[in-house]
Amino acid sequence: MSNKEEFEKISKQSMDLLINATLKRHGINLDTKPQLSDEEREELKSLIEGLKQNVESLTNITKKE
Amino acid sequence: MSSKVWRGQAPVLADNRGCAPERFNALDPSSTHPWDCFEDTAQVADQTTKNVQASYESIVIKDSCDVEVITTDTQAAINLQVALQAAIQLVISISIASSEQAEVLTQELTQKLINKQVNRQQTYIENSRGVKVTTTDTDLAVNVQVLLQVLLALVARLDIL
Repeated sequence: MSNKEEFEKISKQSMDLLINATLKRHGINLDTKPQLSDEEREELKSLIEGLKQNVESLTNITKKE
Repeated sequence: MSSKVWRGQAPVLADNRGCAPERFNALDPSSTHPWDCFEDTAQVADQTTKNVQASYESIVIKDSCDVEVITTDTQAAINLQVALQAAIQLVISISIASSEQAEVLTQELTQKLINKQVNRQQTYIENSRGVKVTTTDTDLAVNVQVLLQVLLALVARLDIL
């Protein structure tokens, strides 16, 4: 596994741990799944995809260097 | 930097800031760069420790040709950061019924993680030909990456999509 992949895996893992720990600390119960319509779900998906692309294009400037 | 040869001796005061020479000469050890102000060192260190996020960039190109400058659009990067914070807030508010808990969680996951620094970049290109300069606001680039990771991890954990 390359260093980059390994780093990404560790980074994702630590982020997941952070989220879990933070939710637990505040006693947040996630048993009920949010009720979203298909349309809302799609909208949210495209929002996240758009943000992802924007972050990638911003960080690509750094990589070009 | 302790080397006097590299930094140059403080020159005869020439401008109203009281620390720049008339003309910088890189090959002259006694010449100090116009922006290399000894007097400001303490102030800069003091300011960057404050808990403020700010980004300043200035680029000066003088008497030069064929100069290419690639720089991060700071405003766009800040807008992206705000958009990511809003998306995190949205995802949390969809999933957590208690607005108080949602607020605390949003604050904890966004404000505490982002890198709060003052970023100053000054690029001065003079008497140059065929120069390519790329500058990046690393703080902002790191912030948006961290926020995106938080957002993706939250979406996965909260099982929204």
